[in-house]
Amino acid sequence: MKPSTLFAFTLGTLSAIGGFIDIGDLVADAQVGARFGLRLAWVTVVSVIGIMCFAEMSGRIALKTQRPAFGLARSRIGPRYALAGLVGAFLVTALLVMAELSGVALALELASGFHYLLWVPVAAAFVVVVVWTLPFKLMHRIYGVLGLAMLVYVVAIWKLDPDWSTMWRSTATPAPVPGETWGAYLFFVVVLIGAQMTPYEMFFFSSGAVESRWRPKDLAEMRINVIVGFPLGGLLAIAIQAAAFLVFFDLGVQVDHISQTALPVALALGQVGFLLAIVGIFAATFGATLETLFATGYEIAQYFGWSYGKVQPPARAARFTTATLALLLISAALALTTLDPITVTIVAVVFSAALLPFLFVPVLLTANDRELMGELVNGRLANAVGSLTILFSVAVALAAFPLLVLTRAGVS
Amino acid sequence: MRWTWWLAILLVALVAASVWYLQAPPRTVGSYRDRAASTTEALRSQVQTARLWVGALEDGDATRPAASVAFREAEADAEAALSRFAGYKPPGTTDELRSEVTVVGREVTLALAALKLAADRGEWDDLPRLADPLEPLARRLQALERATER
Repeated sequence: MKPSTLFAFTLGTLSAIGGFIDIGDLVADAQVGARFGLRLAWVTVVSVIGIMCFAEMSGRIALKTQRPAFGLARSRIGPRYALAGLVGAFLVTALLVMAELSGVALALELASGFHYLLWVPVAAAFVVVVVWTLPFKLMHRIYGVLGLAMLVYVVAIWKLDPDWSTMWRSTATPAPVPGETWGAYLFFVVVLIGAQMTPYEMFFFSSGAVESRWRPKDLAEMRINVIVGFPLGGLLAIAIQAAAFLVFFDLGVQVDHISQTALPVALALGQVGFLLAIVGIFAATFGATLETLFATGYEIAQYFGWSYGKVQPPARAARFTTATLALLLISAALALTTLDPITVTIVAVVFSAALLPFLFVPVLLTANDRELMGELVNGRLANAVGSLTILFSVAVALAAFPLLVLTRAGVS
Repeated sequence: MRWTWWLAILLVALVAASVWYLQAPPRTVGSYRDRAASTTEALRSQVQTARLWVGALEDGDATRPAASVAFREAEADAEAALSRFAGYKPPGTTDELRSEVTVVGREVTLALAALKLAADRGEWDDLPRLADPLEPLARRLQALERATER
C-alpha cells in the first residue's frame, strides 16, 4: 500500500473510530445493549447508511470545490440561517468536547485508579502537546491505529459464547422488551441516532479532505474511507451493544459508567483484553476530542472567513488556533465543575439529533448544484438515500425534546 | 414585539416547564410507586455490577485499579439513588413502601461501602467474604421491585 493511500485509509479509520465510536457511543451502546438487547441494532444500521451518504457528499463537495461542504453551503443559504446553524452546532459540539475530554480522563482513571478529575488537566495538556507538535497525518495515523484496539469487543462476543439464535431473535424484534415502555425505546432511538450520526463527523471529514488537499482524482480513496470506515464504526457499536446484552441484560444491570462498558471484555478475555479495551476507549475518546475540537474551530473559522487549518503553522492561522485553544480550556474548566460527563453526553447527543435536518439539507442542496459540482453532482442513489435520511432525521428531531422530557431521559 | 422575540420567550418557558417536570417530586401514589421501582432497579444494578467485578477480580480477569474505581462508582450511585428517593414525601398510604425501600437501600450502601473501603485499603483477599451479602440483597431487591410494580 502506498503511504498516501495508507494515510487516506487512516483518515477514514479515525473518522470511524473517533467519530462513530466516541463517548456518546460507548455509553449509549452499552446502555442500549443492557436494557434492550439487540432490539435497537437496526438504528445503528440506519445511522451508518445515513452518515456514509452525507460524509460521501461532503467529501465529494470538498474534492470538487476545494472548500469544505458547510462553508460552501452556508455561503449559499444566507448569513442568518448560517449563523443559527453555527450557534446550534457550536453549542452541541462544544458540549461534546467536554464530554470527550472527560472520556479520556475516565479511561486514564480506569487504568490508574486515580479519580478522573485529576486526569482532566493532564488530558487537556496532552491534547495541546499533540496538536502543537504532531503533524496532521501522524496524529491521524497514531489514533486511528490505536483505536483499532476496540476490535477487542468483536472478539469478546465469540469468547462469551452466545446463543446465536437468541441474538438473532433480539435483533429481528424492533420493539421494547417486556417491562420497558415504547417511550423509553424511542428515546434510545433518538440517543443512538444522535450519538452515531454526529454533525462533527461531517465537518471533520470535509475539512480534513480540504486540509489533505484531496482532488477529484482522489474520489476512489475518499469513497473507500467512507465504505470501510463508517461500517467498521457501526460494527464496533453493535459489538458493544451485544457484549452488554450478553453480560448485563439478565442481571438487570443499568450502564452508567465507562467502567461498565469495559467490564464485558474483562469477563470474556481477562486482563489483556481489558487493557486493550481501555487503550481502545482512550484512543476513541482522544481521537473524538481532536475531531470535535477541530470541527468546532473549523465551523467558526469558516463562518467568519478566517484562515484556518492544522496543516498551517499556528501563527498563520492565529484566530483559528486561539479559538480551538480557548474552547479546550473552557471544556476542561466545565469538566472540572464535576458535571457528570455521562449525563452531559446523553443531553448533547439528544440535541445533536435535533439539529441534524438543519445540517443535512444545505449539504444535499449544494451536492445537487450541477453548475458547481459538474460531473461530481449527486446521482439518483445519493439523492434517494439522502432524502430518506433527511425525512428520518426530521422525525427524530421533532421527537427528541418531547421524549427527553416525557421519559425523564429514558428512565420511565 | 417581533415574532422572533415571542418565539424566544416561548422556548424559554418551554425549557423552564420541562426542567420543572423533570425535577418535580412524585405527588400521586402511582408515581411514587414508579419512583420506588426505579430506585430498587438502580440499587439492584449497583449490587449486580459489584458482584461481577468481585468475580472478575477472583478470576484474575480485571485489574485492581479498575475494580476500585467501579466500587467507588457503585457506592456513590447507590447512595445518590437512595437519598433522592428518601427525600420524597410519601403520598397517601405509601409509608410502608418507603420504609421497605430505604431499609434495603441502606443495607446495599453499607455492603458497597465495605467493598470500596477494602479495595481502597488494599485488602483484596477480604472481597469475596464482603461480597457474600450481595446475592441475597439482589434477590430481595428483585422481589421488592416486582411487588412495587404490581
